[in-house]
Order: sequence, then C-alpha cells, then structure tokens
Amino acid sequence: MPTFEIDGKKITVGQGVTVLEAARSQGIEIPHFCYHESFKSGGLCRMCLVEIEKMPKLQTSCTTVATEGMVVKTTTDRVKQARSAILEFILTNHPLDCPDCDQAGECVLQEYSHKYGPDKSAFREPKELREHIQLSEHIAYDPERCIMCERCVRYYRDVVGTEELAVMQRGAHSEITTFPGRQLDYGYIGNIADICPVGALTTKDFRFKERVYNLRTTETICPLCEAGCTIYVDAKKYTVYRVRSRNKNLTSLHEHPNRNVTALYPKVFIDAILRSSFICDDGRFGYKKAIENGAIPGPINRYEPENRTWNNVISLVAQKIKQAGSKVGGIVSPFATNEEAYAFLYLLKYISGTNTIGVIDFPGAKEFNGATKLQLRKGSQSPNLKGIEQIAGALGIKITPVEEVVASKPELLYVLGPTLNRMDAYTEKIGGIKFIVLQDFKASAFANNVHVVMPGFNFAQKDGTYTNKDGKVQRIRKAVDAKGDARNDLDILTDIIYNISGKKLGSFDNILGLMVKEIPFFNGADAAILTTGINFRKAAGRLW
Amino acid sequence: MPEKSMTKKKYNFKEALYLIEILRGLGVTIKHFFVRKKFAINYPEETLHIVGNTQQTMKVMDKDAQKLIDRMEVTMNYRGKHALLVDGDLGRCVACKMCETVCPFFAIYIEPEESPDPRKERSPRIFEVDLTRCAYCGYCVEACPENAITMTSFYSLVARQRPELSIQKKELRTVIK
Ligand code: SF4
Ligand code: SF4
Ligand code: SF4
Ligand code: SF4
Ligand code: FES
Repeated sequence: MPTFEIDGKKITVGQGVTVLEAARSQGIEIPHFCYHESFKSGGLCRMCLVEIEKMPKLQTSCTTVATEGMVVKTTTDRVKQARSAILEFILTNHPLDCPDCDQAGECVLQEYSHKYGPDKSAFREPKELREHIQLSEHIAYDPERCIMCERCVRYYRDVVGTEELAVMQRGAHSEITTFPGRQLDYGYIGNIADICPVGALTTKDFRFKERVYNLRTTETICPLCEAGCTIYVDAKKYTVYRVRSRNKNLTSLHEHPNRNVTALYPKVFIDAILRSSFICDDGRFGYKKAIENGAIPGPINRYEPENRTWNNVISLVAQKIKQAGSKVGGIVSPFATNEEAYAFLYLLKYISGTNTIGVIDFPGAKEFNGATKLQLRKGSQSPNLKGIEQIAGALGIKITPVEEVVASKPELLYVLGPTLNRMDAYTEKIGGIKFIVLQDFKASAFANNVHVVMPGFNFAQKDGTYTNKDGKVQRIRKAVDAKGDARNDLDILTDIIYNISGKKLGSFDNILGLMVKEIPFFNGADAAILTTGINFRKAAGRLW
Repeated sequence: MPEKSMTKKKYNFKEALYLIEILRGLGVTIKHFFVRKKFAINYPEETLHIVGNTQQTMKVMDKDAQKLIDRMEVTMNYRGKHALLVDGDLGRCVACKMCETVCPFFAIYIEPEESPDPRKERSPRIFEVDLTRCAYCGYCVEACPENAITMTSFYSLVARQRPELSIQKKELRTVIK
C-alpha cells in the first residue's frame, strides 16, 4: 500500500492505482480526455500531465502508477502551461462553434477550454472544415470535432471486443473509421456517443433535437429487459428526449474495501462497472416502445357511458369487484412496479380471495451478437418479473399463464397494464366475461373492447421500484409529467382498495415499507437510498 | 482624507437679474407659434417611414399604410418586429437556440433539423416568435452568435387574432444585400 503526497496531502492508496485515480478519490481534479474508468488508459491526449518530483519531464497521471514516496504536484506553473499548450494544439483544427454543436453544455473540451485553455492561438491558418460521416445508421461522426482520444476505439477493443473501429490517416487528417468491410452492428453502438468527451459522435435519435442544458436528468432504470440497467432519462416537460447510461465517476469503487488491489478491475466489480457505464441499444433507442403515448385522454366507461369521472369509475369498479367475490380474474403486466404489483395482489388476495394471477408474457430479450464481450441483456423483456414472482410467492398466489385466466371465464377480469399491445391477441377470447377493467397508458385493440379503461402512467411518469433478474431492487423515478387526465396506477389501485375495504395503503414509499416488513425478500430495501444498488458518490458537476 | 470644498459662483448683475434668461426661454416658446413642425401622427391614416437594411421587405409588409410622412422616420435603433437574415440563399440561423435560451419571456420557439444545405450543419425547421409575448428587449439579438436575428423598425403590429402575431420562419426571413 504505497503512501505518497499529492498537492501537499499524504494519501495511501491500493497497489496499482494510478495517480489520476488517486487524485480523483481525493477530490483533486486533474483534467483528462482519454482516461475512462471502463478501459485501460491510453496516455493519448496528454491533458493529464502532472509534475512529479525527481522526474525531469511532466508525466501523464493516467498511466503513472502511484508508488511509495512520490511527490505529485498538479497546480504548478509548468503544469498549467503544459495544459494550455495541449489545449491550443487540440484546438488547431477544432471549429469551437459550440452553438452548432450538440455536445455544448456537457462538453469536456468546452469546459477545459474555459478553465485551462489559452485565450488566443498561435495558429493563424484557417481551420480545416470537414463534413460529418455516418458511421452507422445510428451514429454520426464529425471528424472536425474529434480530438483523437480513441475512447471509442478502445471501447470497441477492450469492452465490446469486436474491434471494428480504428484511426486512419495521420496528423491533422486522422479520423476514426471502421475497418474496411466491417460495420458497427446494432447492439452496443450507442455507448460511444456517451463516452466521446466532445461532440464528435452523436446519435441519430438525439442529434439536434434539444440543447442538453434544457433537459432535466432523472436517474431511473431501463425497463426493456430483466437486467435492469441503470439509466438517465433526459426530458423536458412531457417529452423524453434521450436515454443514456449512467456513465459515472466510479471513484468510490476504488475506495471499496473489497477492491482486489492487484487487478485494475476486480472481477466482482466488472459487471457493476460495465452495467453502470454502458447500456444496450434497445434501451437507448427503444425506450419509445415503453413510453409511446397512444393517449387515452381520460377514463373510459363503456358500462355506464354517462359516468366518466374518476370518482364514478372507481366506485363502479369497486362495486363490481365486491359483487364478483372470489370470481375475480387478475392479469398483471411485468411493467408494473413492485408497489403496484403488491397493491394489486393485495386486492386480489385479501379483498376478493383469488389465488391465481396471470402475468403477461413478454418474449425473451435476445443478445444481439454472440461475439461481443459485453453482454448485458438478461431474461425476458419484463423489467419486474422477478419482483412480481416474489410478491406473489409471499402472498401465496399462484402465477399462471394469461390464457388460463381468460379461459377460466371469471366474473370480472382486471388487467393491470401497461400491456403494450400484448393483450391484443386475447381480444376475441374475452367474449363471455361480464366486466373487464383495464389500467393502461396507451390505446390498443384490447382497450377498445373492455368495459372500463383507467388511463395510467408509463415508466417515465411514475415513482416506484423494479426488481431485476438478480434480485436487486432498484428505484424508478418520475421524469416527465403526464398529459391529460391520466392518474398514477398506484393511486388508482389504492383508491379502489380504500373504496371497498376502507384500508389506506398510502403512497409508494409506505407500500415499500409494508413490503419490507412483510416480505423477507425485500428486507433492507429503502426508498431513499435505492439508486443503483452500489452507492455511487455523486460526481461533482460531471455529467459523463 | 482631504477635505472637499465648494465655492459658490458669484453672479454678476446681469446674471442675477435672470431677465435675459427668461426672455430667451420665452423666445423658444414663441418661436413655435410661428414655425410649425408636426409631432403627432394620426395613426393609422398616417404612418412613419421605416428605415434600415430590411427596408425592402418592410415596404411589402407596409403596403396597407395609406400615407407615409415625409422625413419622419423611425429611428434606426428602434426595436420592432424581428427578422432572420439570409446571405444570398443561405439562411444564417443555425438553430442553436441561444436566442430561445436567453429570451426572458419564452417568446421564441425553435425546432432544429439537419440542414439540407451542405454548407451548414443545422438550420431551423420551425422558428417562431410570439410577438404577443415579446417585450422587444433585444436580448435575442445580443445572444445570436451568427448575427442571424435582428430587430427591424417595423412597429405596426396589428392583427385580428392572436395566432397571427406568432410569426413563422417564412415571414421572418429577410434577404440582405
Ligand atoms: S466539441 Fe465541445 S468544444 Fe467543440 S464545438 Fe462541440 S461543444 Fe464546443
Ligand atoms: S470520436 Fe470522440 S471518442 Fe472517438 S476519438 Fe474522437 S473524440 Fe475520442
Ligand atoms: S426581444 Fe427580448 S422578449 Fe422579444 S424575442 Fe427577443 S429576447 Fe425575447
Ligand atoms: S437566430 Fe441566432 S441565436 Fe437564434 S437560433 Fe438562430 S443562430 Fe441561434
Ligand atoms: S488522460 Fe492521461 S493522457 Fe489522456
């Protein structure tokens, strides 16, 4: 365990930790472009130069391993001058037309230019302008903005492992391209837009849509498969503009007591690092599947068409559930949160006395390409299947396929969405059922054939928790407001329960508290600290 | 600290009398009994001349004006209706949303798109200025990195309905020579 001095502070770090990582763990900022937590340092950009006593030249802190007795200085004039010179060099052909650039507002180069850059350049020649290239259907590459940090190249080499990208040409003409005859496959390509420190790589999905500083970022969970990757949702008002990985400062990982000091990335954390740094393209580009608003403007009551207010609809449903007794059939979507599932199962079990429930089946989430080292997809496309199984198990409710519930012809069928069109196949088979209730945020063929539709929220509009395939309980958060007269699914359920039995379940954290008490599986879950499973320290002002 | 002192100016007899100054002031007033310069404008029968490099378009906009008063112009730095400048055939605006961001009244709405013109990366698909919200503060002009948006001296902003005052890109575009 070497002890060394950095900016006059004596610190002890693990074996093999670089000066840059050690400085970050102390909150000392060393500017850097090419260093990234998730892969090996390249020592390419030379932005991270520091002065080390007894070494004649400045050293790149991202590749220099901290050793016993080192004295590192990060703020001397020599270092400052070197930083400014490096920036001047990087900006030789960089357009610096930040208003035109999508990265402005979260751009590392922009930030460093302000902080450390020279105010004028020695280069008088006009800047070379180049047009953007479509690297793949989803990614546009702007060679004039590229600073050749090779993060994207190393991502494909070290993380994905398929090595499609390379630097071609030399000097001012160098650019990133795919090897001849190779292409960037859909799967994990979107991540390179996240890790690019400048605006050189942009996704087609977000390119020029909105300025990043106008968006509000919410930490939530990707709902597109059972892996439950941690994501940021960037949204404005009612619209989700993009989904990106929580590509975070992992400094706290290095301080973790279990850190295996010999390897840079200990086995136990590799999954955690990858999972928090990268997401798959289905999550990044396919989120629209889970939020698309077919807009059900307000509650629909085809049973008593004149009674369309929320109060009327809820008391009608409550009355019908009371009448049907134990002949209530329940179907739940795995997109429902743990709390909704609990309230729903509570309704079935303790109020109706039903002992089975159907769970809508969403087909398996397939891995995109078997050859990649990075494989994040898990299980089926049902984000909360595990949670529903656990709650049903604890309440003694049997899970059956949806067909059986429909075929058993219950008096009343209650479907808790979002069904995302997966119930449309049953539209014909529900003929004989006297009363069908649906909670869903999106119009569908099934919704057109039921008696009561109560418009709910999609995953980006509500608070709650999901349980992923590994049994990690993670928090989803409200990112956008709901339009129209929709209501939170959980409030609808608790209102119905209150209407029938007079029992108040309360809001989502109360229900989570109830679950923690009653279901051993949820022991230790706490709404306040549930973020990623690993408690990452918030990176100071850093968005990437 | 050095002390500051002030000595009062001593008036001589002529100055102390005030009479000459009073007469001089009256002279200005009396002059206007004879020299008639018109200040009130009977709007909308009469309108002011609109000046500036955007004159050409403004004239077109102004075709309803019945009478232009000679030599009476809106000052050059008057802040009226906005214009988006076009160099040759290339619109200057890059849809960077700086003006939208700076506008204190949320009067500007922009939707960018990939520019169809290869000489530019992006351009606005929708550019809308809601003149009913605008306070004509000119911040948008200050913020624009491309000198694309300016304010003309076109002041006659009347419409039968509010949406008509929400002006679109097509109407804003102004060719400069
Ligand atoms: S990459 Fe960064 S510094 Fe370069 S133009 Fe874009 S925002 Fe500005
Ligand atoms: S495209 Fe971005 S990540 Fe790749 S080398 Fe250029 S600046 Fe670095
Ligand atoms: S003049 Fe002021 S209020 Fe009007 S659009 Fe520009 S910034 Fe907004
Ligand atoms: S008018 Fe100017 S500030 Fe506004 S979007 Fe266009 S270029 Fe940007
Ligand atoms: S971060 Fe060290 S050389 Fe780039």
